[in-house]
Amino acid sequence: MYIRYISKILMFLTCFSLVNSESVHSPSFPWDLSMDYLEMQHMKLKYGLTGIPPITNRSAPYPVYDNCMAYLEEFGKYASKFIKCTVEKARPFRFCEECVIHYKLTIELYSNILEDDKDKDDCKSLLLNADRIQVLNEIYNNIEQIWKEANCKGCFRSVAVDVNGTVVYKYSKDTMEFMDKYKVVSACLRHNQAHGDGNNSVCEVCRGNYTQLNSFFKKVRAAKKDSVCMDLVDMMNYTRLMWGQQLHCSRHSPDDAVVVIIAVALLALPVVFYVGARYFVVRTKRKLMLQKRMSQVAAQTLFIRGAASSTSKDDEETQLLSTSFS
Amino acid sequence: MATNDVAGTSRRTNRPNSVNSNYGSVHFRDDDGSSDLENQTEHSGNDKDISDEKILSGTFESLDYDQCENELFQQEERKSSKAYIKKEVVRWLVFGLIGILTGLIACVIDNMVILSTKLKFSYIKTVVDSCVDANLSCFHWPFLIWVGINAVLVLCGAFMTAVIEPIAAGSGIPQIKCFLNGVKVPHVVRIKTLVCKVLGVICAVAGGLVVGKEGPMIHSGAVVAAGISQGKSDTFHVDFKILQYFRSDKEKRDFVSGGAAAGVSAAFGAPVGGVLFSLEEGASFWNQALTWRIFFASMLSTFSLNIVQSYVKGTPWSLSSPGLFNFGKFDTTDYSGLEIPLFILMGVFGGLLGAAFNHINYKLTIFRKKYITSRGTQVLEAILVAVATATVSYLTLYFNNDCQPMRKDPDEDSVQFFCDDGQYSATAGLLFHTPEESIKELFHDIPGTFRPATLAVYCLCSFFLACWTYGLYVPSGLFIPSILIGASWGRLLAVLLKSAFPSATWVNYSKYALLGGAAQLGGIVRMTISLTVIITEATGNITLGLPVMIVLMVSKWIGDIFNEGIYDMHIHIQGVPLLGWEPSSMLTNISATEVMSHPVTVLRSYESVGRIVNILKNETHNGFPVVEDYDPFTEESPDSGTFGTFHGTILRSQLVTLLKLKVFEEHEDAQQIKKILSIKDFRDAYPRFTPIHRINISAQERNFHIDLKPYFNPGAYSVSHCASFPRIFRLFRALGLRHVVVVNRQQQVIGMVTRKDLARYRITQHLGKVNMEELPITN
Repeated sequence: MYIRYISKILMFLTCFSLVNSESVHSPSFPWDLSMDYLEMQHMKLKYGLTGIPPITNRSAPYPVYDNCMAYLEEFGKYASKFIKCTVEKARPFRFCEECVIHYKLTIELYSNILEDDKDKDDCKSLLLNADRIQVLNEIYNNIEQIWKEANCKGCFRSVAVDVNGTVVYKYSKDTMEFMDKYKVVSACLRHNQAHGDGNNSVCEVCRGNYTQLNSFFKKVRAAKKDSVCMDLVDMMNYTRLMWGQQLHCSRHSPDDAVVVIIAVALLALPVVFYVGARYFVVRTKRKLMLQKRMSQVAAQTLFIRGAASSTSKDDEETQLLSTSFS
Repeated sequence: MATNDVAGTSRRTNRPNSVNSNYGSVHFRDDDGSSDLENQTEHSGNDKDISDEKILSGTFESLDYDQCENELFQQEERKSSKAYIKKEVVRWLVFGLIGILTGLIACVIDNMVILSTKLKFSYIKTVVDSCVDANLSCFHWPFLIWVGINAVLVLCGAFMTAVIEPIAAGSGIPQIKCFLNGVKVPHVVRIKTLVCKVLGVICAVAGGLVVGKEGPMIHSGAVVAAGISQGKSDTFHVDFKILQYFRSDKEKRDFVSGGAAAGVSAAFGAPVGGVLFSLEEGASFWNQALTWRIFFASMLSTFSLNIVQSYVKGTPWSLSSPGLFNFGKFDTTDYSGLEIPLFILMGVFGGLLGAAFNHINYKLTIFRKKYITSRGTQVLEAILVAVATATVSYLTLYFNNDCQPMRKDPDEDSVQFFCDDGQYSATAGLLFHTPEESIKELFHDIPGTFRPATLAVYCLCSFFLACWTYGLYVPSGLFIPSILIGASWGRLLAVLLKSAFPSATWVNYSKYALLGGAAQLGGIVRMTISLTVIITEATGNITLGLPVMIVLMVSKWIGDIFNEGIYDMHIHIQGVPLLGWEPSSMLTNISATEVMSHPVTVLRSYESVGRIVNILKNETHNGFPVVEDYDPFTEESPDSGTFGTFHGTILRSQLVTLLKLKVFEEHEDAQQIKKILSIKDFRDAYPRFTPIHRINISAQERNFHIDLKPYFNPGAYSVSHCASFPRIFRLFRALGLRHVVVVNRQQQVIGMVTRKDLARYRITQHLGKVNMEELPITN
């Protein structure tokens, strides 16, 4: 047991000394052999070279390798921008709209890495299959998952990267229409609220616009089978919450009286039915079957005397008993 | 005269009429011989109102589980020894077919229910939505539409059941239990019953009644089994001339227990549970080889259901999909040993609530049996219950509208109802579904979906509605409603626990909902092992096995203090002469002479046609002892106590066949007829034999004679007049007998024991007291 403690202490000490020594002697980790290894393997696979590559000092140029490192740097830049964007645009939820550029660039770069296989510099295997954690894949999957869960694809008609490397995207028709309607509604609500004419007037003024937006959204949702872009869903949800909870525009005046009267009438029916059944149904009388049984007196006498010989007295008795219950 | 006697003392003359006793010491209230007289006169006084549960119905007959080993049978056995292997192979095939067909029928029920419910609720939803959008006060329209749709659907279901085939009512489990116990329940395994059951249950569930489709699936499985194992259909008058060797009650019984198991396994996706159900609730006769065959049928049933379901769900042949678990898959089910006392308390509560459920349902059933007897009133009652169910649901929605904000992307079928815009109604989420979907929601919806008040109201409503519904003339299962009640109070408990211990991590809503469901189910149906396994399999979770088991055990114990399980209760109310597993030890001092029916109608082995016809017309009995040395025409013989020397027994069906084929000794071609007569001729009529009044016997033929020797069963069982009740009972129970003849030391017939003679002694337990009663029998 205490061996483990000792080893832990030792480890701690080593770490401590390492940190110390690093902080004293060099500003970063020492030059990593894994890079040499990967470069050697790469050369071997690509050019069939088996010799020792020049590993004289760390500033030695690795021409092929630098391409891949460039990918890595680029990916890190785009991905971090995307993540930053998602977090910033999480509330109010506008991230499909705002982060589409970063998303597209990240994805594009990732697919470039994927295409960079053995025919080119083979960065694919170098970057994507090199270790257990596979950071790039993880990040990529994460980004894709967020994008997919938010149904962001539904917001756009097309998203593409042009020759200059800028992202060009077009909103889908539904999105455009929704945005227009949304702008109208929000403008209406803001304007009327600001005037402070009382809530009722806001409702009255904007009801037409709101209903239009609402029904348009319902139509889109029905058509797209619930895979509506999350930006729109969120806009709609909060418009509705605003409408219902804050402005109290959708207060229904449930006509309690009619419903209650119908309900009471319907619930009274079973009572009437059962009471009626209780007092008006003529019950059919059960007929009990006469069970044929041997009287116990007869049974006793039977066993005492045996089957063949019978006295007249016993006979009378059994006869009496058997007739009495038939 | 009242002397107290301790059980076990051999006073054979005692006839304990009503025995009140506590556990441990048994006190008999002694009645001496004279009470016999009073007893009989009391029975013949018809106007006395006896509770229905305390009456045995005389209309039920026994099945022939005992093979008649007459000469013809032995001849055939000698010939057909080679066919043995073929018969075994065919038996396996038939079991496989039973499994597959049962699975497919379950599929039809399942999908039709889902489809019709979806149609109904989407229509109501559009009406509600248009009402919300229009912002008008029009909320009585969806209400009336809902009520109307339910009423029409239930009208169809009830009409089918009450008018076309009354035996299709209810869950069918009691009926199957009776059948497997050896009681012939008329029409129970006919194709007409199957059709009515399937269509009826679809209507009932879609009609919004608080019923499940599981019981009817079990019944359907049994009908399928009884049907296809026979190779013919009497309803359609088709005989495929195959599987003739399975045309006997004994073979049919095995197939039916397989069919019931396949039904359970299709209903819950629980093949092992199906086998255990068949063992625990159904089969009174069991053997190892049968277990394996039944398991085969169950497995195939689940398998074929899952294949079809995988197609329906859009992932063909993906049989491991967790969506195929009936109650959804449980992922997080950690529990700590410290929670076990809580589980026990849940079991106690479930048992109490179950006992209350059964008691209310008992009173209701008695009322129905007395006053709601005509078909019209039965249909009307079902419709009224449907209307009331819809009304209560709507009122729940109306006055307890649990609005939840629509922050997450809502489901397709979330209903806004009276909620403000931006919210959806959680109550509607529970009510706008089939009961099974509602269970899934109670089990799996994220915390905070339902307010405590919603759960409480829902629990109360479903308790009373389910109680009211069971026993109506519609096919209705009880499993799903019970779980629904339990799951709602289980979840309510979890919500309360969470508010009491906000930091507790062990309060898991799914777990408590599931255990509540199990406790309630156990409290109502009082099954143990099969329920545990069914729940374990239906949730795909073995970790919760122990809690489920504890909860079921406790709820059964608690419930049994007050009354019996709902299936047994319904069997007893019907007055079915069911024989339990064991004779009570309280009955040891009842002897054969008390049990038996005494003046016996016997036949001589060379009997005149006229006498046979008369006996068959005048007596309702189905089996007759065949004797020698007996003269029916002497005056004194019926009362002398003996009826000739016992040779064997013959069944009514055999006699009818003999009369029909005119196997009379005086016929000129009698020898010819007798030569070609084989066991097949007796089997062909099975199971619907020609009634005696449809057979023409001319006046001349009445003087002819039949030699019964080759046809009666010479190896029939008989017991000595000294045999005790438990001895005869065990003989019946173990061998599935229909008749036992009581003989004296000289092998002379003195009485006959049938199932009803045994079943009229009933032992009941209530609040720790054991009572024995002797039940009267109705005609």
